Amino acid sequence: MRDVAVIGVGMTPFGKHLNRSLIDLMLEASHKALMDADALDAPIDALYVGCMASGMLCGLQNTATLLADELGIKPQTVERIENSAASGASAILNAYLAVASGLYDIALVVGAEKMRHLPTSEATRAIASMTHPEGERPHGVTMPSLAAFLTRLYMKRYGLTREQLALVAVKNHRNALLNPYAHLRKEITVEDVLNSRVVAEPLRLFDCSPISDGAAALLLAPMERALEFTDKPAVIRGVGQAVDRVMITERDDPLTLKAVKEASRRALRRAALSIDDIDVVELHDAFTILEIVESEDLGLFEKGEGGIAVEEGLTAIEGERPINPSGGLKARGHPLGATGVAQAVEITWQLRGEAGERQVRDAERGLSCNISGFAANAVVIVYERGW
Amino acid sequence: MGFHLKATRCRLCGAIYHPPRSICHRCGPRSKGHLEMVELPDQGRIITYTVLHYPPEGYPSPMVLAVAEIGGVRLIGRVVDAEAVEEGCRVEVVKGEGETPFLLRRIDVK
Repeated sequence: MRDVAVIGVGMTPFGKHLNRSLIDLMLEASHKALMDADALDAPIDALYVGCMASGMLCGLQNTATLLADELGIKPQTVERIENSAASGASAILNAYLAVASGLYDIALVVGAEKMRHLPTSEATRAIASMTHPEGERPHGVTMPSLAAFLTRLYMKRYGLTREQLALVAVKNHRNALLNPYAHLRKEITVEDVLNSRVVAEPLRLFDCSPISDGAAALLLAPMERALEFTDKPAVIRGVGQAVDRVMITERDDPLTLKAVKEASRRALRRAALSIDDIDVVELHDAFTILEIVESEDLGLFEKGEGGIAVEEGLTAIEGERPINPSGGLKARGHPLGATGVAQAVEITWQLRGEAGERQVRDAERGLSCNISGFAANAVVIVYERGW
Repeated sequence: MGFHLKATRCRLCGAIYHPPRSICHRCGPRSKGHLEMVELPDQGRIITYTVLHYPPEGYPSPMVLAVAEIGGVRLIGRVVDAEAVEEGCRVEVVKGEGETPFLLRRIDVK
């Protein structure tokens, strides 16, 4: 296996793009990544598109091939990868394998989703298609209801307060204010969270990530060729993926996201690193509770201490364990398939020192965690400065 | 009258599944053909719950959704005739309506 580096990154702003097509968003992100790597004329060997539901949301299949056609490239392999909300990280994983194996040299990864043109009820229905078709969906289960179950169980067992939970949203909104690509660039207070409308008790609107449009892209190359394209390649040191039971009711302990725990362990082992070596983390805070539980299952904090960590500011940009400097899914936005790739883009900017006002000081190593379903599948990637 | 849900039980390890499945998750593919139909009791207890204010189209709002333990199996179901429930309260399984295969009804209202 060869070392693989990120040589170029790009993304569209996340938010509402009512007058643009899914392919148009993908083209913008792809072109930016190619320009970033000064690779507009480079032969692209493979294209992997992470997109959860182009068929359901945009009436579009054959999405990756259409993108290659519109972008004017003829890669040998062109695929769309679907792993629900972790489609983006799964697309990176596939591109990584293709380059690491030596089969291909230059691989373009694009993650995207377009959802805002639909009424909320239809977008929510598409998102809920990742729930269990018999055990959950016929009962009216939505993603927020699963997050609500988890929140109530967690609050009861570990004494997490409603205020601590709100602080996750407050922090991520504060970070997004410093991110020109973020969907929700608005500072909020704990009171704002606690006064927002109830979605699924005890969760409120500001505990949930928004429905967003957007695209993000990465260009990967073998490390041995990376310096042809960039002075600052971000090396992918390790990847890890794992699955858990699809229904949280069938998990031994629903408060431990085993897929996250195992994927993280695998990625760090392959990187020969420990979680303590990681300077910056982008994780999957589709709901505020998920940031707390994932931060524990990644090993950043002991079980039950994630809420206190947020309260003490440990997860802030200037804290000891910075989490989601981009604003996370909560405030950068969550265009499903784009999220995993946007996490990689943010980590790359952080390692290069190009994250502007939200820069984590001396970030040399980063980790991303993208989950699918209600953490039934997780993909963790570890990055390090390659210069 | 309560409603007895059909579940499957693995003859190799004893695990019980609802929704019923033909392969035991614990034993894997070799368990195909070794699961038998069993009936769950018609009563159980609530483990946790939420009141959902933005349910999918066609469902009442707000609605109470609960995780209940019925005969050793944890199920998600909608609780009818209740504005709120508590952890530990007893429920019975009743026949569902429309696409919903079953519902839960609180039976220890204080």
